[in-house]
Amino acid sequence: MKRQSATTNLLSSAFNTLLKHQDLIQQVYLSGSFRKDGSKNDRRAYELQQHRIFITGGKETFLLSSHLTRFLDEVTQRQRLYDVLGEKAAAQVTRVWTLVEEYKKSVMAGRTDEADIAIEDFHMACAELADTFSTGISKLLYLAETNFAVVNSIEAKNRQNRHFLQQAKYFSSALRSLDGLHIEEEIDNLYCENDSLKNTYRTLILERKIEWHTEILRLIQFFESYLFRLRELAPDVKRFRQFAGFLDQNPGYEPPDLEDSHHRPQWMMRDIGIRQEAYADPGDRTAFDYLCEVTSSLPEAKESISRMKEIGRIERAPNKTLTVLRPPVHIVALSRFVRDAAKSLSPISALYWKRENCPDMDVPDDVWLLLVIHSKDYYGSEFSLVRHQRVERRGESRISRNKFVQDVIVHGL
Amino acid sequence: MFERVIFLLLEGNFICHVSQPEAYSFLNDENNLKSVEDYLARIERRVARTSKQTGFYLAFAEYGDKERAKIRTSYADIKNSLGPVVAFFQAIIRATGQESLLMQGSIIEVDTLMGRIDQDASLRSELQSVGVRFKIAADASHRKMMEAILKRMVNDQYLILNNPERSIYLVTSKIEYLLDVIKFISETDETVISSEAEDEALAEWKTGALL
Repeated sequence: MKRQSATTNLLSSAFNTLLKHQDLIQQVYLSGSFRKDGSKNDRRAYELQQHRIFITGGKETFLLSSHLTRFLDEVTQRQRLYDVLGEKAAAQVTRVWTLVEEYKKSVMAGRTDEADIAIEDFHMACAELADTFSTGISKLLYLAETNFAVVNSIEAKNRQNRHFLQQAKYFSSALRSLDGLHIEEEIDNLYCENDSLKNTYRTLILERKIEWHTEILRLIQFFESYLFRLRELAPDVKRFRQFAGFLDQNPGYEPPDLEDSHHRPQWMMRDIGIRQEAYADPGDRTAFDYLCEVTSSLPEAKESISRMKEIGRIERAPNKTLTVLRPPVHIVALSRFVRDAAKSLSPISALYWKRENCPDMDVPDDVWLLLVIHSKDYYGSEFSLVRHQRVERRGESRISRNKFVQDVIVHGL
Repeated sequence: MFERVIFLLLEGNFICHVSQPEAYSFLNDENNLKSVEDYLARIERRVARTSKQTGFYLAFAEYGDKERAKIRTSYADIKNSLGPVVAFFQAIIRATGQESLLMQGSIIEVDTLMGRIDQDASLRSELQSVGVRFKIAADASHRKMMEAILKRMVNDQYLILNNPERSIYLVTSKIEYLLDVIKFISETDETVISSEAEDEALAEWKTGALL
């Protein structure tokens, strides 16, 4: 109980330290190291070293602990060159087997404390082995999918590919060893059966083993074929670079005519093909419904107006009638009459002027006189240059005594 | 699938794992391949493979007067497009640093690529010159120019647009056809051979002088 409490205190303290100095940890993870600079960070680095989060990396320099670095690499999916993934898997398999043996011996000897420790470590060893396989495989899959994107040149990719192919083979060998040790049978045949061991092994290892086998085989196949392709590609890349350089130096270069030469490479025999077109047969009754459906789904044809383009001329819309705005005939006549009257030395009779100048105008005399009388009010300043004088007579009726306008005499002012 | 494969071939398509995965799987089966070849033999055609065996295309079974005109047209197309296509791949390799781009299935991420081009004046200038080779208006923005070039490369079957949302393109097996053409020209054309020999001699001399 005391031991557990001490462990809890240590963990709590470690988590607090991680939280307290997270910015410095992040800085060191990204930059690679921390060098003492006389600031407050020196003290913090020392504190982190006390908790084994930092390790000394030379005089006055601190590095991040490899365990934490590895954990953060997992979190950030950071690719490391020549990462060690599968080499430790075989040793971990042996450890799992050894712990089962240890448990067996402890039980046989009646050392229950040691048997308990062996069980506890067995759980941990299985979890570590499962983690090594699943994390390693997922990393290898990522590398395969990205074609070792962290490096660019063919040579570097080739080296990375060879290394990780070897790592995949380590995993494969560890899996073969796991199969060969028959740990599940060993657990089943234990003198005192332990369900905890059985369950742990089944859930963490046994149920995932087939999947690991498949993935590892797939990865090995991929890396091998990729390696082959990279090796094949290397001379092509060199030739491509040389040719591209040649084209840069000779931009006007044109490949020679080769079609009449006797040596015709296969690529030259390529048929560029033909455009395939097919037409429906309206006479085919079986296709009638389908054709009806197609026809009904066709959009309406758009009407387009085509206009001939002429340089230097903006063409009007076709068939557009020209509308000419003209004042009414009586207004023109009135205007002329007023102008004549203004110029004339003697007064002019409106009716006389109408008969003389506009005999065909379809305006009755009385309406014409009315227009002349009111022209001043309705038709602007031009009519204010003359004076009107009505020629009137009284009506014959004694009751009404209406006045009748017989003529209007107009003269200039 | 037989009918589809025949039509794809007759239309002049390159069939590979990247461009037509189902048709490629179909042709990878020896029996299917034989049935397709038997069919094409009746119209004096055959199925050819690219040099790395990753793609199929239609080829003439024989070289006669009938085929001569078509082969001449095809070769004229290659001659015209060789310069721009080589310049394009060279520019992409320079921008991404990925030499393995000349491999079928390689990925071109346009956003990442444009990010690098935008930050580097020499890459921008190279893109302009590739655009000129493809006869794309020089006043277009870099992004539009790149899109226009990529569209041409897709039309010419060198690339396929794998993910339109993220603008991810994949290199098809036609790249191997291009490499075959370059290999043949590099090995047979005296102009290229002598120029490359001069370059190599110069490089050796420089190395010797340095040592």
